[in-house]
Amino acid sequence: MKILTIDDSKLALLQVERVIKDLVPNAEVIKTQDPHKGVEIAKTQHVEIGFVIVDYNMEAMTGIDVIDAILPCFKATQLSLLTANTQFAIKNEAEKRGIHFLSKDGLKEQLENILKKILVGTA
Amino acid sequence: MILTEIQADIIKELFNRGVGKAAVILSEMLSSQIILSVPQLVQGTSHDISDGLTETEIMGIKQKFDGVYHGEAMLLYGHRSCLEFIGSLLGYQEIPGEFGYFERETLSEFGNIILSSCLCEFENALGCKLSTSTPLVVSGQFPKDFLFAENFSSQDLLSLNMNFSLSNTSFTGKISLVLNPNDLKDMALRLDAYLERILAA
Repeated sequence: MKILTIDDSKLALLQVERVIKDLVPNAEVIKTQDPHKGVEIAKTQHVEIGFVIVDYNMEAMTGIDVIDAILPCFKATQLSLLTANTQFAIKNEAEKRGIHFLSKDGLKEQLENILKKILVGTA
Repeated sequence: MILTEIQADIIKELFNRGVGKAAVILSEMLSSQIILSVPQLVQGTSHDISDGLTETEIMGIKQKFDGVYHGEAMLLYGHRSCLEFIGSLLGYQEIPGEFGYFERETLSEFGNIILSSCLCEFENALGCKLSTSTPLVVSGQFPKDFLFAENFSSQDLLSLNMNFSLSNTSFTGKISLVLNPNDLKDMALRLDAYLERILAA
């Protein structure tokens, strides 16, 4: 399964990749720090991409802008917003779209359940 | 810049996480969304820190941190913005004309929550201990009334900066952490060690 991660922080991308590789060792993780490029990858490879993780606080586009741009190509449950800033208003934006909301704290535990469901095709 | 690209990335991300966590607490206190900018790491003089502050009369708090690393943290607002912010925080119907004891205490607590959250993030990631001084509420000009003497004339300040605003007001403010350039060599080593731990976990 291909998993796309979009975050302007290289540290965050490496952490997410580490967690994904622990949970799904054979996953192919596509990483980009450029949200525009991330949108392009998501749109052109949406058939092969099983899950997308998007950071919220980025300069060029917010995570919500990215999600809105790619949402028509995916099921909402294949998309997630990742942030350390878990304010209600941001969480609410994720809930309104039916996507997953992930905190940067305890990411592995949160992702484990989601990826399990995607792998067995129940998400 | 003494730090490598990945070290600078890590330090900005830690700052981002610290402020982000504080924003969760503060947004609940305010019943309002706190909108944060992307963190910036700036090397330059004290005037580079004031970039984005439009009012000449600045209100805010300053607080020193010590331990393995030494530096100072500041919350900076234009005077009018600060009055508006405090009014919103305390649920006033009208913007107060001046700051009384209670308003200053509130401002101080607000800053303390942000700084504690940031320093906690650095402590956990870098495996170091940091302590903070009592926050000082300051009204005056930036930088002369805000930066502590040892930083005021430095030509080579390194600072982490993030702008913040409230969704339901025109208020804007700035969070700034000024780092001591002498600490960067050790900090770089700890940032590398942190990355190694992340990748090996």
